[in-house]
Amino acid sequence: MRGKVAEIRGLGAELVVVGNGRPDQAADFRRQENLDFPLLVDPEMSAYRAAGLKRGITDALSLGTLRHAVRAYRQGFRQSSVQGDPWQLGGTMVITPENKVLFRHVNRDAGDHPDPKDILDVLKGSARSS
Amino acid sequence: MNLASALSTQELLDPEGRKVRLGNYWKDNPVVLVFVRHFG
Repeated sequence: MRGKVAEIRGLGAELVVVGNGRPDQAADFRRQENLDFPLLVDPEMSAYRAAGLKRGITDALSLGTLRHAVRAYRQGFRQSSVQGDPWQLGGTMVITPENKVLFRHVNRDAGDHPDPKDILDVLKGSARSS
Repeated sequence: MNLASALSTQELLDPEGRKVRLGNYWKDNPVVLVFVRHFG
């Protein structure tokens, strides 16, 4: 969605990105990428939980890491009653000032993201009706 | 409590480490709220 900031703002909305790292990591990322939209961190993952987001394998950049991730995932799965699943996935929501959720996409895996066009269409509809 | 209400009361941290109430971001206008796995 990062490339859609101008379009989002043109529709009277704002992009807010939440990560699960530390504030200094967010600050580094913001500086490196020259970002001008709000960037927040949720170290306790409480907002991720409130959003109903999933956990799963997310780092499958190579066969090696995939193999490692599958092994760890299986171990984590067996021990889920003790440790839970350590991989948090993301998601996207469109929320209005009336606390209405106009759009919600819960990522099914690391490569699963919503189509930005769907989000912009929701914002266009919202802008028309307000 | 619906999903947005539950999210609105969450307190997160900005890059400077200050606590911010998530719902402040959609007090006046809609937001596209994106939760990412990691930065980058």
